[in-house]
Amino acid sequence: MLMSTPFDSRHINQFPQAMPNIRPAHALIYLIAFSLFSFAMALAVGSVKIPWGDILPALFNPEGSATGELVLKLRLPRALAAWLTGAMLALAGCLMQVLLRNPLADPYVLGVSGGAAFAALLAISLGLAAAWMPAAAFAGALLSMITVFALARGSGPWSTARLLLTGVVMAAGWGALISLVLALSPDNSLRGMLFWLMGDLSLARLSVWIPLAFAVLLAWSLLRARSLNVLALGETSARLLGENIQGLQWQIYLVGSLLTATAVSLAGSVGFIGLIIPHLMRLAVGADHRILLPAAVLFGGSFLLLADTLARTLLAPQQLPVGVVTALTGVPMFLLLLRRARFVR
Amino acid sequence: MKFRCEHLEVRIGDVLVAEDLNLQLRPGQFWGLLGRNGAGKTTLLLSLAGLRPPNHGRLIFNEKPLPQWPRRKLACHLSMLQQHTAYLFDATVQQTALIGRHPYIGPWQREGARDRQITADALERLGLASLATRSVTTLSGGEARRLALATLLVQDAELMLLDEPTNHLDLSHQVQIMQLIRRLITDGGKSAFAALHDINLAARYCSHILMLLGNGQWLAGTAEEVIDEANLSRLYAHEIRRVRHPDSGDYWVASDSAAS
Repeated sequence: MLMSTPFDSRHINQFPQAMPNIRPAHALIYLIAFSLFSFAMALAVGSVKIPWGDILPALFNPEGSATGELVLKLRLPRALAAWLTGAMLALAGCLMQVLLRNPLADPYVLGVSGGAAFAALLAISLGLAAAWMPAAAFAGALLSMITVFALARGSGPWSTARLLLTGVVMAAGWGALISLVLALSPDNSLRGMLFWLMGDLSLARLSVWIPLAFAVLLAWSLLRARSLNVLALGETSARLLGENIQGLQWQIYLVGSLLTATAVSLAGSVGFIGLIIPHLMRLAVGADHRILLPAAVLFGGSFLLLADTLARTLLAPQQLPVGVVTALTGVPMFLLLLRRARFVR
Repeated sequence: MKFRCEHLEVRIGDVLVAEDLNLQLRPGQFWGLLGRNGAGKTTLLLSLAGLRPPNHGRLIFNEKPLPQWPRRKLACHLSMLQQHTAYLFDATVQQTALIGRHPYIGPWQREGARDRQITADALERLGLASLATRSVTTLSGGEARRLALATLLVQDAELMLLDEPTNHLDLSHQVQIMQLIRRLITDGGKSAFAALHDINLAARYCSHILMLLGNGQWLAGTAEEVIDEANLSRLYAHEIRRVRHPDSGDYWVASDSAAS
């Protein structure tokens, strides 16, 4: 008979602990500070460097000074647009991952951005004024969203698998139409189209309804955050714990799609935010959506704002599409994450 | 707690799971549901949980038809352990068990000290207290099973529907879990309805048995009435023999011969 050596109990419980290293409330305070820092950077850095000490006076007392004009009229709107886009994409990513119960889902997986991109590119190629692009993108996103909704619903009950398949196929279809528009467009409009496809904030125009829509959609998400925790356990588990999942799932789909539609109509299809921010924040603050959602919003906003600051200053006066910066930083970050991750097996 | 099915008919496609099934569940009863693979045990449990409308007949919980119960309210009285639980997202064991309190907490509220205490007690009873901060994605099959049972305890419903509660568990944990369920039933005034594959566990711990014999036929009664060589052999279409043990009573074993 063979026997192993006696078991040494000191080695048990050496498993990775899912418990975050920082207290969730503290994490949110750090993230708020990080957001403020990213705003300060975005307002200070650029072709004209503004000393940090002059930012607050310029914000609250802009009258007359050139610095005040620059900060308030040029940099602040763009900074707000960047932060909101990042926040909305990160929130939409969290929602889509729970909805599809797939940690690798992102806001674009169901074709919303494809519809937006096709409509925006069509608008460019038809020679419409730049002011029409957000409206065209939003209309395209809504069209895609409603089409997927109607097709996935079919005659039977809700099925996540059918939603995912419908959305992925729709996204592929939009991809083909986008290629078609690119192929048929004159050379001089290609550059604008590529910038849109990569995600670009230089033309972003913030209207007042965007922060409003974001606030409403965020409020809904925070209100249903505990239900999202339940849904993460699975559809049947959620029903057994008293959730009306049919309604909940359609609401998540609606809210996630509207967030995505708003974000892409503002800045084009900025990549990677919606995929990596939810994962980074899950590692940092844990999987409870009541903390995860605000954390993702704060970090997503800051991340895109810093990326955009980098995009407009790195090769200044040449501006880079911000999507290039998020992808170039996002890809290595995500690969590192995958290497040490436990969520993909 | 009063639960009854009246003239229940459950089908999966062409397969008739049960026809004209009439049962009454009372507090203090532990029902064992026996049937071959594919006989429809899970489907029947889902119907009893109100998640899958029966093809015919009525389910009445506390004098009110099941479909009329608001889901959240029903979840405070009726719980179900699923056959498989996949934990995909990186939550802790404690957070996951705490979700069992969900139906008791309003949308504007947070979990309170009492909810945390109930959760801590449940983890303790299932031997998971030392794993409370572990990520659910790192649990072994048996640990995940016990976590699902802990979540069920946290939900604290009077009627527990259990789909193979001893799935993935070693022998000692199987016995501990069955003892725990029986204690909840006898001391806590609850009742359970458990799909089981182990006849010996069913015979030892269940007070009542429902056998799904195929083609919609069924057999129900107290465990003493229903469990015998003839019924078991018919149920599994295989010869099942009784083995007497001087101290621990009877055991049931499948014979090595071909189908009877």
